[in-house]
Amino acid sequence: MMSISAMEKALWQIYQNPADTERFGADAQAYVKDFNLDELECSMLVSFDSMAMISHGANPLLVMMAFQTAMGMERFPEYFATVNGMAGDAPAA
Amino acid sequence: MAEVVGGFLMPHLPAIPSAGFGADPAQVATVYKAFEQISERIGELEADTVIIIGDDHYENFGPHCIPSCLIVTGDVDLSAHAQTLGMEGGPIANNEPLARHILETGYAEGIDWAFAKSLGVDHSVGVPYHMSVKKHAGVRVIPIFLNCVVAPLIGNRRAHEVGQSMLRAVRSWPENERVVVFGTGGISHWVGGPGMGHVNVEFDHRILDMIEKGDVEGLIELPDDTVLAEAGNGALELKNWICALGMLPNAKAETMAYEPIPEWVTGCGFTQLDVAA
Repeated sequence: MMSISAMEKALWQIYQNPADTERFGADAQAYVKDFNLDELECSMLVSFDSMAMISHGANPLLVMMAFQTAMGMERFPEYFATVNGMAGDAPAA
Repeated sequence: MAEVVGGFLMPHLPAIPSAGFGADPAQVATVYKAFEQISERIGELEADTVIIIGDDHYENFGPHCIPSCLIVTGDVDLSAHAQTLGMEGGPIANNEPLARHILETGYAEGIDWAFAKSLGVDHSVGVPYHMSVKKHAGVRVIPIFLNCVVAPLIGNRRAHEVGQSMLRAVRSWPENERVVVFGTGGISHWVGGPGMGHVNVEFDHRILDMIEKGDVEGLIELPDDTVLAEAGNGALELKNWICALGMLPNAKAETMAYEPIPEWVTGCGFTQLDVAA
């Protein structure tokens, strides 16, 4: 069963709670088990498939901020390229 | 007797304080000059209080609680994230009695305000404060947040009504206050999703032209889906502008500056709203 609210809860906690950011980074599989997510949603989060989560209905701003927090700003060009389906530089958001 | 003495519409991008991310220095200079002009006007208008209308970027307000419209009636500081953007944290003076009066006036009129007794504001309030208000010692700030980010959003009509209610509250406040209003955000930008980095210059100029012509009703009637398709999710921050325009009926609007800055993924527009003497 799909749950965008639960997915956004998991993303928001990665973004806003340093302890959860750390937990996600240390063991994403264990982290996602704390939320009411189906198998597909768990997979999207564990692999941090940004486009899949956005296509699924997750708020793009939240996906981006959770990515920046979890992966670091140095990987933002990767995010930018992914959502635009291209290689690109990293503008501000 | 309190009065609204002027207003401004402006961007609130997190990149502004650091002037970073490789933006063209000439464009950055234009943006900085516009903020400086706003700061100078605050002095000329002898403002006591600035009401800054922004939108929380899924930062303070998470899935647990998303207010449609919120006023900060107590302690104000910058959020932890805002303090990573080149702005120094610390207490920001709030006009608490007037904020409380705006809240209570709204309640009496059917405005469903949420309120915060303490809040670390995000960049939507922090950047305009940092760029144009902070240097004015003694000028207090009332932060307002509209939900322009997490669907379902506040409606344009409701945003305008919130502004109108705030205007009535200011006008009914017995103290001598000179209030300036900031509507912040926009214009076109796609944040976090496909299209990020694109700027719709034609859309942005259309919006600025509508404001100069006083076509507030046209702005209110713009469907969210149209704004989303033509100018991205970030352009929904026009609701903050519409709210500010509700506080400034019949103001003479003049575009101060416009720069489409792809490195900042945004069309940056500035408008001055002069209150008729």
